[in-house]
Amino acid sequence: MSRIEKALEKASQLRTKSPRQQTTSMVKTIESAIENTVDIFPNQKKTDVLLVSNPLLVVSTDPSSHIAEEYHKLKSVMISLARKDEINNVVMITSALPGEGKTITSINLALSLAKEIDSTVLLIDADLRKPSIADYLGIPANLGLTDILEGRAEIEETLLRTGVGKLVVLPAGKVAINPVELFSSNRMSLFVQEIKHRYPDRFIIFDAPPILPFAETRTLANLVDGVILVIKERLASVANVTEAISSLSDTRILGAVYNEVEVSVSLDRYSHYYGGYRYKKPAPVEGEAVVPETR
Amino acid sequence: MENQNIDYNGIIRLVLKKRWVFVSTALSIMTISVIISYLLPKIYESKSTVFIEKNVISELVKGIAVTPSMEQTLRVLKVAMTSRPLLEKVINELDMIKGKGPNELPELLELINKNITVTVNRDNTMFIISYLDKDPRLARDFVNTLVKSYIEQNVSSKRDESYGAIKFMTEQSDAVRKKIEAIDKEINQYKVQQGGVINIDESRLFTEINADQTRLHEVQLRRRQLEGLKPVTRRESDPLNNQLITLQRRYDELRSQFNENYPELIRIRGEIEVLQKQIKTRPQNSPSLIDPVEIARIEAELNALKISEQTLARSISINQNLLKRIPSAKANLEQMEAERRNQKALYDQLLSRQGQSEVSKQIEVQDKTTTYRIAEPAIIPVKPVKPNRIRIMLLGLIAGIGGGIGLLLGIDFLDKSIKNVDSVKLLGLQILAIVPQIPDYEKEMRTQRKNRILTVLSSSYLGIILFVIAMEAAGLPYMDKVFALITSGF
Repeated sequence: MSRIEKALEKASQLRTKSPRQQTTSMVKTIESAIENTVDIFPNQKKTDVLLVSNPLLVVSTDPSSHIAEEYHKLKSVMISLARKDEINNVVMITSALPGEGKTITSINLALSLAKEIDSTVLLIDADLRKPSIADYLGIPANLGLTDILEGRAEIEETLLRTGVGKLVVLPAGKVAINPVELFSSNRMSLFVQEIKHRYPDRFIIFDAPPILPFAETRTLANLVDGVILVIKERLASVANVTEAISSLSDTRILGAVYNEVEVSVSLDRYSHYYGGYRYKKPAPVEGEAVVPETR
Repeated sequence: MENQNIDYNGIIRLVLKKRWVFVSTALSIMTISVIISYLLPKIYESKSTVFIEKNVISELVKGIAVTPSMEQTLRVLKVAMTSRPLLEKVINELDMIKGKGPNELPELLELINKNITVTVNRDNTMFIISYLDKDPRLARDFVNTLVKSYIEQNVSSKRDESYGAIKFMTEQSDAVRKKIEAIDKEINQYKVQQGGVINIDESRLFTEINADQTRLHEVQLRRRQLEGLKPVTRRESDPLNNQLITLQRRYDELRSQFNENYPELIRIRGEIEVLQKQIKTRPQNSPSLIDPVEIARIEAELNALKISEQTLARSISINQNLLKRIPSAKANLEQMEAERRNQKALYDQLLSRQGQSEVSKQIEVQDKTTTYRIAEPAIIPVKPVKPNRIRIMLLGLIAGIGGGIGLLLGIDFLDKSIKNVDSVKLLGLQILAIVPQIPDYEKEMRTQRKNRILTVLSSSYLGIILFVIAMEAAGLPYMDKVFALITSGF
């Protein structure tokens, strides 16, 4: 058993203790985690691969499409920024209003990054009000972020290895009644610090709720290294986006993903390069069931 | 060719995206246009062509008689045709005001005015009058009655004009004649007042004055001579005096040749002085020196000359006065005569025009100048001229498409959401990726199914509209019957 695991085990033992004691123990855990970040899933079978069938997850379902190509571009930007040490490894993906495609962008970006040989990716569903990553990926999500923040579960109990490259998913868990309080809690900041330092060579992607309707996103924004705004065509107004940007004034905004651009079949500007995009029923990706990460 | 200002691709995308809105708007507008075209009241047009014939007489009497100008009459034809008295006459004749109050007459007149069209052809040989009305029979009757009334009124007005002209001419010539008579009287009186002054020859009078003045001058000269001669007469018989004159004359002659010291001059001077002393010293009234007969003769002649002088001076003065009066008297007379000449000329002209107007009157009375011939009387129109249903429906088709696009553009304009990547760039955000819509096969299938239904339905509906237009173009009255049935149901 590695030192980290030992530390985590110790931390779980301390869970029943007072919050103050908990905090102290979590910091210690992080410290020990920094010292040794090697293999944390020794019991995981390398052949277990997640079956991705949702057509919206084009990076897996139709990796050669020009849409997937756009996510690859986004991935390249991320890698480039990380190499230049402009950002560390924690990025939050959000939007001004609901329904702009944050989750799809998060998953596709995570899948694209996971396919890189060197990159390991942790995708966290931080939308505690309306979690959906698990549904899109078709994975069980009994435990998740809510459970960690409410002290019902340990981090390692919630992490799910997908087998798609080095992608690990942390689902939202149970729907939270008080996400603002959870995100503002000391436990949340400790959690972010822990995962950040536990996996320094990983990309950690937070799929956050929209900024304007909910307050917890602004809190989370202060904990991450950078924010990517998803802007859906013909949804949010300029005023909405401006307000969202101003509410993120303390955080670095890496840029925007202009999402769901209308490209009619006959007027497709990409069709020259791809020989015409046609609607076709996506074939399911080969693979097996997903398994939880090791205990 | 791509227009830089209009994003045609954008419009096509918009239409394709919101095809339901576009199709329903366009078809609604088209349907409304079809309904309107059938609900609009039918307007019938009836027209009549009237030829204007100029009689040969009018050419013959050119210059002799004055005929009313046809060009001018035609120029104001529209005004004349729509003049209130004429229209009121037609309204009364056709009983158009029946069932309406007297207050509605102005409205009716205005409506009629709008519906009348008068066109005159280029060479003024004919005019066409047309009238629009919902009732084809009334349209026909209106045109025919109006044309008949106009022609009647035109003829009678021309006659009135001729009679009026003659009356006027007679009045004027009488007035001028009276004026001439008055001037004649005045001239005669003036001539009497001025006596013979006016008839005197100015140059002869002038010569006379000159002759008198010469004679007066001569008389005066003779008188002065005699007056000078009177004392001299006494001296002529005086030897001393005669000698003195001789010596004096001799002295003057020598004086011109020699100076004062010339001996002869000195001698003569001495003799003159001696003689002068002798004359001074001798008694003045020495009878021996006076010749009484000669003196008497001179006196008599002097008296006669004085009388003659006075007579001549008086004659000259009279003649000079006359001469002064002549110009003004003659000028006054000339003025009077000029006035008379003018009046006379006017009178002559009036007399000649009076003759012309008499001819004109006769021409008009006998209706010999212009005749109106109704070439085509108005008939009951069969087909309505309005509404132009095909035009309305075709306009409806265009308006439907335009309205649909307009509505979409309006909605798009009001939609303040971010519509392009440039708006994002303007916010200062770096664009990391532009992700197109991810096709959803199931959704797309559903949409395509719906689109197919929409296409079939809208095409069928459009087909019906086009069929209605085609029926209208072919003159088939089925739609009229359908609409009549529907409207009678209400």
